[in-house]
Amino acid sequence: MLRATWKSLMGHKLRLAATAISVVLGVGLVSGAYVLTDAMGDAFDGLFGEIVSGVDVSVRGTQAFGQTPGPGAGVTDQRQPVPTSLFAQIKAIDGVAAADFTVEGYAQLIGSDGEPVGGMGPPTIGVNAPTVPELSTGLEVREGRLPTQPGEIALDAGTAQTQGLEVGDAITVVTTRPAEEQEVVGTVGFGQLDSLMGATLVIFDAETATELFAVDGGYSSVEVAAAPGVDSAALRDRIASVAGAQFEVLTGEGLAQDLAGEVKQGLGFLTTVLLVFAGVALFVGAFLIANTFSIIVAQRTRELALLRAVGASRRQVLGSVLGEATATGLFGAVLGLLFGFAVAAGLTAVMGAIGVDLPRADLTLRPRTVVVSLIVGVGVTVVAAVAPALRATRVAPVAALQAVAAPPPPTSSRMRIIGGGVLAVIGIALLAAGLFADGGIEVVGAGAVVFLLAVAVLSPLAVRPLMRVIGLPARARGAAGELATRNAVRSPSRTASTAAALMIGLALVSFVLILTQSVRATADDVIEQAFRAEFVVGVGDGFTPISPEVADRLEELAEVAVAARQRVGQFRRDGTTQVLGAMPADRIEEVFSIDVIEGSFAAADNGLVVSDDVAEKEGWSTGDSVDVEFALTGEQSLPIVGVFDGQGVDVDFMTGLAMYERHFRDQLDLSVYVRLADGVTVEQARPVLEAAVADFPTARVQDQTDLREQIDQQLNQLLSMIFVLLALSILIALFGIVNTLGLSIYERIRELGLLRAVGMSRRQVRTMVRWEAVLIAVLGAVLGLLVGVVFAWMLTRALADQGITQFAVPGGQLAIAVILAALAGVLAAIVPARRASRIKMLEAISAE
Amino acid sequence: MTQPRVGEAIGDLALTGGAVAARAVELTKVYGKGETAVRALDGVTIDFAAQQLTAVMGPSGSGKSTLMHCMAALDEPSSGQVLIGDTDVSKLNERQRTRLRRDRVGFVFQAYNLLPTLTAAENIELPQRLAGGKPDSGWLETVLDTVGLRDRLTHRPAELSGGQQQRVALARALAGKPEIVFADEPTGNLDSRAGAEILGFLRRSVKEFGQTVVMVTHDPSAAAYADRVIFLADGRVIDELAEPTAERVLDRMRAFDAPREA
Repeated sequence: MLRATWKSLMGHKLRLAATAISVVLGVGLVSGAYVLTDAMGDAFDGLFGEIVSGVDVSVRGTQAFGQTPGPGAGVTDQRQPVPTSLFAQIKAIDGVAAADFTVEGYAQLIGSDGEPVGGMGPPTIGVNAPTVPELSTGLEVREGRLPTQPGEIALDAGTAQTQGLEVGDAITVVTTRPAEEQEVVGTVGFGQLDSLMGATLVIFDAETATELFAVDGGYSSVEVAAAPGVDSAALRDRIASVAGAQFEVLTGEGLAQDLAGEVKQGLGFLTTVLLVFAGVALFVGAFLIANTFSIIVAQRTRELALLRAVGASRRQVLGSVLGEATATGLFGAVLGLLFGFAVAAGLTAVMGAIGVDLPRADLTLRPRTVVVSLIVGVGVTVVAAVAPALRATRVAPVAALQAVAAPPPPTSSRMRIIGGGVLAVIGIALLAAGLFADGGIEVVGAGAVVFLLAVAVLSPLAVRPLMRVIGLPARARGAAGELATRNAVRSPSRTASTAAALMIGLALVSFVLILTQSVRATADDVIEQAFRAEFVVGVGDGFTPISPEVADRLEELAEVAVAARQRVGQFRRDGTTQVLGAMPADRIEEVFSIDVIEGSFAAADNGLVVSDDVAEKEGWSTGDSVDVEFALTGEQSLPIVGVFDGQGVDVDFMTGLAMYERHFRDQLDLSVYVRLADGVTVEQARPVLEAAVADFPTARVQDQTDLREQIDQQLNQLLSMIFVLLALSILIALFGIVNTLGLSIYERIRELGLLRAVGMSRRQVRTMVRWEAVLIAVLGAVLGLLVGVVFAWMLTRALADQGITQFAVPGGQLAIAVILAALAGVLAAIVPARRASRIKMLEAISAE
Repeated sequence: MTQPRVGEAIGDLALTGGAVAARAVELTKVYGKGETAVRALDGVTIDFAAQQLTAVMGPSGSGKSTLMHCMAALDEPSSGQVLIGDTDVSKLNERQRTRLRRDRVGFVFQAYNLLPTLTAAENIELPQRLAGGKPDSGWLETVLDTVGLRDRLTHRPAELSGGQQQRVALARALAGKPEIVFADEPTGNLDSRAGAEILGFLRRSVKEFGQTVVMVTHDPSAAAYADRVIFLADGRVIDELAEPTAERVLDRMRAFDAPREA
């Protein structure tokens, strides 16, 4: 039996390759994710070890919890500053050879084009120049020197290079103070790196940095060098006993691990994205594999029957098919493992190209990567081949003797309806549980997978009716189109499972398209309905802050009635991170039209105002107390002073500015909402506002139209990622169509010969094959769209109480997706069509 | 070289009396190369008279199928000429040959003659549909009446018996009013009754509608339906017989076989 399996494999190398391609892609993404993050992890461990090499002990405030990337994440960690008095105490501790302090905060560079440099994710950090040389060995001066007086700065070499800055050049820097021109006196690197993960670093002289960044006169951290012969762990313990529990005291090694850990956590996001993509690739690929094996079994009916007739057991037949699957999976997994290196190398190059400087790292293959890749690759292939393999065991031995070997009967419609129906119910139940009962993203994902499987099981039943419609344009194009339509419905299950690959891709894409369109429509609605402010001034990315002075200056303008600063921060409640919005308590209702259901915003400086959704879910009302935790100030019990209608408001927790000032370190504004004085028009006000904030180039003055455009831009960025997914699934689906068409042509070779004999031209043969491919692709796209609409509708319903009030279907974009799918069909048909048109007519007619 | 041969062939016209529908001149077909080369046709020159049923006979490997494939523009001869009407088939390119097959030639194969996805009626109309048109409806009615398929038109091939399928194939071959119909052992897969039916239809299409039919067969009783029998052996025309009967055909065949066995 093993020999038969092997021969079958080697006899169809092309088929093997086309089947394995999806495994290669999926496993490649899996192994690429591991290879990359392993290498990066190693590299960052080494890098931070190097950077903190002179530091024996580090002291900083404790942080109750780490920040979650996103709104309110803050520029710096939320840590208690180290008071100068403690710094003096530490210096005096026995065994301390030298001590230096670090202060850091927000410093934004403005390029010569007037646009902010960097940001949009990676932080823009300002820091002091070290004052004790032996404690700063990790910071290498590449060119020039470190700043020593006000007006001088040093930059990370990476940023200097991208900005084309040389020592001696001037650049504008925005901090909490207005924009100031600074002279670049040097550039620095960090070990082998020119920049840190895309962050921009501005080094000020120690005095200026302290003025700018020292919070309450304290330092961000204190670094200590041990005296010769003093053990760093012993010194750490000695310092810790002086500093007390409010402060975190680490050895240099511990600090390096901690810093590397944070970066690795950031890289974890990349791993997740890659693994999700891999999951989609493998899920889509499983359909391709199942389909190919179904066709193989159908084609090998006579051979399988003969094996059965001469005494092979059902188990042996099963083993033969699964053996071929194992070999195919192994082949794909091994290639995928290698492809993973290319993925890792490619991603490193891409990140480098967009300015995220990653440490040079040797790509290593850990046993874990090999094991996971092989299990995933072989597992997916074998699981996908189980159904066809079981069907193979049902081949009757007598089929070997029949003139036309009848393949085993396909699954009956009844079984399909029952099986698909059960799956659909389970899928929808899981989706509902995940979306409406807070089952979590995993439950939603599982529901989506099960629902897609249900559609895949049921879709063969829809092939004939759908093709009657989809096939109309094909049939209008004459005999070739007509024949293509007939061929497409010939084996509905084959057509449907070939289309399934595209269905999944298009379902995801249309889901996201509809969702973003709905978000867009909702945002427009909110801006129109809830905003009483005519202008919003800020960076506009949702997390980069601006100086508080912006609001001060706006408030002074005669044209401005109200300038309300908005801040955001994170806190934890019940183990999850929440976003807290803050505004001067007496201004909130002046710039927003929010319905207050209970209590009022007036008391917001001393408590929380929560959305009605949260209040309802938690059973809270005004007067209740809530336990929350701030990173800076730890656990707190806060009263609820009001409940607002959450419709159209994107935060569930709001508070007054005074409360924010007590619990957060950075006192920076996210944006300023401006309401104009009576009689002042938007057109009149704009130049006045722009002039007032001209010293803060990152602050953009946006009216409601600008805001809408900006939301569009942000959504479009999200969409570009989705198009990578679309491309990936279309690519795999393309191979699926190539495979199915190739096998169909092989099966129908006599028909092709006959058609050519009675006068079908080669061009018509190609047209016929192409139409069949297009029909399959469009079928997949249409099914995918339907599924995507269902998903998006469910999600928007689930998010209705979180402010997504609109359900909008972007018809044009969806039409483009279908057209792209059809084009993929045309592309997929090129090789099979060529082959079909070049068959040797006479051999084909007399083929067995 | 070929010119005088054509002249010779035209000289033969007088002997057969009628017009010539198709003609082979010094037709040679060699498969393979070098030592393994097989001369399937070795200088065949022959006329197929219009409005006649011609049978081509010969033992396996005599080249009768190859002759027909070359005549019908399904295959390209190694050398020599094929004329369908006035058209020199050997001078046509691939596209022109396809069009010739579609518009001017009809085919009936031994088996697997129909597309399983199309109904009987659709199969019959296929060549005209491929040309972007429809068969002449009056003529189609006549053909359908002749082969007697009226009540089976909406059936698919899988729902038809072998004889019925072959009648559909015959109707398809005739539907385009071709200049000549080639039938490659059309009764080879049928029982004798169904076979006789098909032969009867071929005969009628010649006698009643003036069709020209060339039929390859190895069955003497099938050859007996023909106006004329051509005998092929080793790629050459070795004999012919006008107004054949099964017995006379059989006698001739025995005569060819005898010296070989000796």
